This record gives sequence, C-alpha cells and structure tokens, in this order.
Amino acid sequence: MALKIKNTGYAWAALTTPAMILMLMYNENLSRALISAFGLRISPRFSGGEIVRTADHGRYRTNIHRPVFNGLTGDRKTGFIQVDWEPVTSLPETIREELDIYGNAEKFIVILNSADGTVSYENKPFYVAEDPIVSHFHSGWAVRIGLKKGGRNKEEREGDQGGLAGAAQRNPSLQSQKPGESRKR
Amino acid sequence: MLVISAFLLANGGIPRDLAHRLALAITYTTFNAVFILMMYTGKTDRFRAALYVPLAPFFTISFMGRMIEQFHAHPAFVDFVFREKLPICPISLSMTLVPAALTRTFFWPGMLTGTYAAIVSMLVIWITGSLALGRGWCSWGCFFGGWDEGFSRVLSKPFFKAPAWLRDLPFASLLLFALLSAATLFPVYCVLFCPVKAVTDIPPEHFMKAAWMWRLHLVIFFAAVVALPVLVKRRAQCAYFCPLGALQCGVGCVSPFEVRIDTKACSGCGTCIRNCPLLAITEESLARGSCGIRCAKCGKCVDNCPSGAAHFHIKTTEPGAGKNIARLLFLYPAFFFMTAFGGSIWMDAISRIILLVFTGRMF
Repeated sequence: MALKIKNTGYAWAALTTPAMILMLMYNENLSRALISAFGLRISPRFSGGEIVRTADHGRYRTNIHRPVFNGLTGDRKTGFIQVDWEPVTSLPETIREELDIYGNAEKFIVILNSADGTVSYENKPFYVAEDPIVSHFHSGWAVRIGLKKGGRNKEEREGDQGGLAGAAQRNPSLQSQKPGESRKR
Repeated sequence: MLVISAFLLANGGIPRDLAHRLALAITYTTFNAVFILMMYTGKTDRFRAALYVPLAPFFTISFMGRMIEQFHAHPAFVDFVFREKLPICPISLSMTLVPAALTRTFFWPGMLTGTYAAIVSMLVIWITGSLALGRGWCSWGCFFGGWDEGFSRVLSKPFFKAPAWLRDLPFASLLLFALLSAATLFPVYCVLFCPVKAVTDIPPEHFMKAAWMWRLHLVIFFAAVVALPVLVKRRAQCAYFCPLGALQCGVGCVSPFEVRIDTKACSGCGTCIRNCPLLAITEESLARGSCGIRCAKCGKCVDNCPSGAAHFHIKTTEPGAGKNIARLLFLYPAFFFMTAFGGSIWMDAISRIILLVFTGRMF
C-alpha cells in the first residue's frame, strides 16, 4: 500500500512535464474547449452589451448597444447604454443622435463634439445620468451614458415593449453573447 | 530540453526578420546554458534568478511595446472599461474568479482567447502551472516578481526585520480584493493598487485622473517593490501584499512538489529561515521539517543549507529519499514553464532593444 502511494506521487510528478508541454502547445484548443464547456463570456459591463441597432448616416454610422444593467446575481439599479460612432475619419464635428431607451416616447438627443470629445444632451430624461464616459478609438468615438433603472415605476417597466431595452427583450439572442464571442470593432 | 525549448521558443517557426532571429538565438542560448549549469552544478536558485530577475524589466519593455502598437495614440488605459483586447495578468485573474464562477462571465475588458494574454488562455496556463508547480508559479513564471527579487538582492544584510505577522497580509489582501471586485464588478486591486502598473502604464497628459492614479502606483511601486525589498532583503511585495501569491499558497496543495527539511540532517543553524525570500520557513515549520504552504520552490534554502538538509521532495514519498530524482522531476516542468512563459517575453524585449539600438524605434 505504501509503495502504491509512493508510486502515485512519482507518477503525478512525472506527468507534470508532459502536461506542461501539452498545455503550452495546445493552449488555444484547450481554451476553446473550456469556453464552450462552461459557456464563458465577457461581461456586458465591459463588452458594452450587444449592438441592437445600427443607424447608417451615409458618411458615418452609429452603433447603439442594448442597455446594460447586469450585476453579479441579477440586474443592478444603475447601468449604462453604449453608443459608438465610426469611422473616425468621416465623422462630422457635431453629431446628434436620438435615443429612445425604453420605447415610451421619452426620446432624448445625445450630442457629441468629435473635435474635443464633449457630450451634451437635449431633453435629458431623469433616468439619464449627467456625466457620460467618452472614449476615442482609432476607429471612432464611443460614449457610455449612465442610466438609472429604479427611476421608472413597475407598470412602466412592464409596459416596455419598444425602444432599445425592448429590442433586447424581444430578441432573446441579444440578451447574452454566445460563448467565446466578443463584439467586433 | 534542447529540442523542446527550441520548439517552445520558436513557436513552430523561425522568425523572418533579423532582430527576432537574433533575439531567439540569444534567448535559446541563455536559457539552455543556464539549464545545463543548473544540472551540472546542482545549484538551483542562483541560475533561476539569472533568468527570472531580468524577466520583470523585459516584461515592461515587451508589454509597453505591445500596448503602444495596439492602442496607438492611447497607450495608457485611460478608458479602462472600453478596452476590448486588454491583456489579463494572472494577478487580475485571481480577482475575476469569483464573478466568473457565479455568472460564467469575466469582468475584464479583454478577449476570451485568440489574442495576446487572452483571459481563458491565461486561465488555462494558470490552472496547469498551479497544478504542476503550486506556488512555484511565483518563482518560475511570474513576470513581476523579478523586480522584488532583484531589489531584495541589493544589500548583503537586511536593514531591518519586518514583523512576522505581515506574512498573513496576502491572505487578507486576497479576501478583501476578491470580495470588493465581486461587489463592484471591477478588478479593484488591478486598477487602483497594483504596484506594477507603475511600470506597465503611461499617463496621458490630457487625463488628469489617470495621471494622478499613475503617481499613486509609482509611490506604491517604490515603497513595496523597491524600498521594502532592499531594506528587509525579502521579496516584500510578493510576501506581504500579493493576492495571487496567497491564492497560489492554497492551490499549491495539489502540486506534487514541495521543499522539505530533513530534520535528522538539520543542524538548526537557521540559514534557511534567514534566506527564505518569502518568509515561508519559521522555527516551527523547521521543527516539522516542512517549508509550509508559502514556499515558492525557488531553491534558495536548498542551495544555501550547509548540512544539505533542505531538498526538493515529492509528496507521498519518504522525506530525504530520492532527493536528486525529486529535484529533476521538478526542474523539468518548472523550466519548460519558464521557457515558454518567460522566454517569449525575453525574446520580444530583446528584439525591441535590438531594433531600438539599430533603428531608433522599438516596433
């Protein structure tokens, strides 16, 4: 028995070398297997959520993502919606984009100055936070607009059928990314 | 070793340009020369350190070069949350494990696989490295520990002795930052407190918040990674603060390797206690003949033990038996890990230095 245990130790120790080499050689395959086995993905809080609408303005286009409220175990009271404009070379100096987050006619306009990256709003509803996060990529501009979920009452939330939040609700495939997928930019 | 290290370093093909070829030749020769010396002399730590200490500055050169290549005008992580191809480091990985276990999502602005230091690719490396080496990861694979180790070797004697209770701080650090990261859904330690961000980040002029953050990281870096290791002659950041180090202490239990002290051969001189860079050995653990869970298997105590009592050991076998076999069985996976993980960083940094010298640019 003692010999068997001793041999197990040596066997496990001897196996670490081929295990290490195989892992280093097949890292990519092992990673993909792990992703598909556990359905791993990037949190929408970092990926920005799935794109639910793309508006083509001719010279440039706008990608509007679904509102993201994802928390650790459920939805959070605060979240954001991400809007991207690209390509950076064709953007006008002032960009105006109309957004209807919940499809309840509470439309507001987000205005981006692509020269200095400042963002302002027109008809800003109460559930939109004041200071958005703005980022400049080599492909364009992206803005994350803070949202409050608790601002709406229960009836309003249940009545959400249209808008960008509704788009994600109507299309379950947009609720979560497929394993291993990430938003392309 | 010669064949496999060539395969691991060349990654299946010889580079096309001269700088990368030269870097490959230098790295291959250095790594194999060190391995042969390790085998020939029977010493471990001094040769490991010759590869491990330069790994940290080389990582800074390699990483910064890659980031500037990737993000062009915005080399710094000003808008951390927007980055989609941000490489993940193993320390940050430890912060994302709790949310990943609960939601199957990673709270990190990177890619799952297919890019440089992608999240799941790093996870696979971490799982295998931990299963095989345990906390040996911290002495053979970590690309930050070289800073501490390098500075801890500056003075011949410690300036002062750090209190022993500091050894438990990494466990508190791991618990605190894992819970904070889970609560805020943000890798708190990485963004706010990681000292090595000082040498892997550039503050942009127009973003004051990031500039202040970088200054904070710089202060933490000089305190925890430069000053403390010099003064206490230990790997202070790794021993007192690193949350990944604490995690490795736990997962190290599944590794078949450990360092033990043969109590019959031990003269009780305490050289191992004074020399251990991670404060793994205490009077109590010495009496038990064990180095405890904090041991990173650097081999310093094995090299310095005057009575030859400290030795590499395979769990479940008798203490003191098959010392050389245990050392060999440990050195091979550890060295392959270092060659593949650290060797690629060595090569990339050396090729950038060659380019800088001959062309004036690093990429």
